[in-house]
Amino acid sequence: MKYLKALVLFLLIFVGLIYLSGQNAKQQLMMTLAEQLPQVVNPSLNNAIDESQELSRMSHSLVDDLHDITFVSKLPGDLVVSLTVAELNLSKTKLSGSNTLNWQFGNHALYASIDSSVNFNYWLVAFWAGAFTALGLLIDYLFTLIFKFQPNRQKVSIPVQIMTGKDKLSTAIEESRWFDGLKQQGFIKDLQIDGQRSTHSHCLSYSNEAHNE
Amino acid sequence: MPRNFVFTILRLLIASLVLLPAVVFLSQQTIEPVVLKEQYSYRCKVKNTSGKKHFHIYMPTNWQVEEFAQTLCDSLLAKQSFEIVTVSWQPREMLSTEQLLSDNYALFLNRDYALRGLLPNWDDFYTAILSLPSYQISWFSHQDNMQLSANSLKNKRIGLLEDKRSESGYLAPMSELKQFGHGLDNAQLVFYPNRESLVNDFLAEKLDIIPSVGHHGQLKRWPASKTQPLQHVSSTLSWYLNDQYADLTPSLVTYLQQYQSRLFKVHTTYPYSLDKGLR
Repeated sequence: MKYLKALVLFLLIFVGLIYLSGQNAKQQLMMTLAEQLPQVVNPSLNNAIDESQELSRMSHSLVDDLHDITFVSKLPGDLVVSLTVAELNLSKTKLSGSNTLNWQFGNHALYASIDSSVNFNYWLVAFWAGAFTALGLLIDYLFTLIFKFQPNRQKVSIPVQIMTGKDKLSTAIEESRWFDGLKQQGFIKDLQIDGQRSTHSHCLSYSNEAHNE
Repeated sequence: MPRNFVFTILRLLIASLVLLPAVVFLSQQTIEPVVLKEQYSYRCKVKNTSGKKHFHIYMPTNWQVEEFAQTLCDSLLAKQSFEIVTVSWQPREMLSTEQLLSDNYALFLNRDYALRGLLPNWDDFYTAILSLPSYQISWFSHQDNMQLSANSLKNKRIGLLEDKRSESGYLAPMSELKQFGHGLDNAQLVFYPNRESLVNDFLAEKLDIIPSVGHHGQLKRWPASKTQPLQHVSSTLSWYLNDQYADLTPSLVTYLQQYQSRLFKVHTTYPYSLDKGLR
C-alpha cells in the first residue's frame, strides 16, 4: 500500500512537472513572439505587392529562424531541453486555437498560429519528481507521527448512556491502538502489563455487549 | 464523517501546500533571448564563386524579389567575386544615411531627390544606370466626372499611404489636397500601410477617393470618367549602381530592363518607354 502511495505520488508530480514546465515554455515563447512578430512582419508588408503571398513566405522563413529555442531554468538543470516550432502560420483572417496571436497592421489585424513541441529532459524530471515524492512521503510520515503523539487532545466523547455496544467496541479498539503506539515508543513502559490487561479486558467486555445487541 | 478520512484529507492538503509551490517554482523557465531577423529581405548564394563580397540591393517593392535575386545568383553574378546576393524592400522611411553608408548597397532603386536628402554627394559613390519612365498619378473615385475642389471633397473619405516618402501615395496627392485650402478636415484622411489595403478598402467603398498609378489589377479597368489626373508628374525613379561595380553595368542594365518591362506590364496601364529618362 505504501509503495502504491509512493508510486501514485511520483506519477502525479512527474506529470505535473511535465505539464507545468511545458505550458510555461510555450507561454514564454508566445510572449516573446507577441512582442517581436509585429516588429519583423509589419515592415516587410509595407512594400509588399501581395500581402497574403508575403505572409506565406514569412511563415516559412520564421519557422526556420525559430526552429529550436532553448530555455534557462531557475534551478540547476533545465527540465525543458528545447522547444521546437513545427509550424507558424501568418494570416489576414482570424485563426482559432489557444496558441494564436493577433496584432494590428494599419487598419486591419494580422493573426499568427504557432504549433510547437517541447523536448523534455525526462531523466531530470524523474529526478525532481523522485525528490518531491520523498519530500511528500516525509511530510506524510511527520504528520502521522504528530497525529499519533497528541496525548492530551480533546475528544468529544459520546455520553456513556447513549453509547451502543458498537460505539464502545470501536472506542476500546482505538484506545488499545493508542496504548500500543505509546508502548512501542517506550512512554508507558511501567504500565505495560497493567495497561495491556486492562485494554484487553475492556475490548472483551465491549465486544460481548456488541454481540448481545 | 470518519475521522481517518478527515485526517487523510488534511495530510494531503498540507503536503500539497508544500509540494505545489515547489513544483511550480521548478517548472518556471526563462526563454533564452530570441531575436527574429528582419523579414524584408531575401538572400541567395552565388553559384560557382570563390569570392566573399556581398551584393546588397534595395528596392521599394517586393515584386518577384526571389526570382530577381536568383537570376543574379545563378547567372549574372556567377563566377564573379560575390558570395551572397541580398535584396531588401524595407519601408523607405527606414533608409538612413548611416544605413546607406554602412550597408554599402551595390544597387538600389530610388528617386534622385530622396537620395540627395540622404547623401548630398551621392554621385561620388553611385551612378544612375537606368531610369524608369515618369508616369501619371491619378485620383480614382466612385463618382462620375468629379472635379476636385474644396467643395467636392467635403465629407469625402480620402485614402493615402502612410509612407511619407511615397510620391504617388503621399507626397503628390497631399500637396494637391493642401492647395484646396482649409476646407479639408484631417478626419477625412485615412492612412494605409500599403497599397494593397488602400485599394481594397477603396474597392469595398470604404473610401471615396484614392490616388494611384493603377498598380492594382482591378484599377486597370476603372472607368476613365471616374479618374482625374493629378497635375503633378512623377519624378524619375532610377537604378543606382555603386561605382565599385561599374564593370557590371551592361549585364545589369539588360536584366533590369527585362525586369521593369514585366513589372510595368503587370502593374500599370500607361504606355511607357524604357529609353526615356536614362541618365
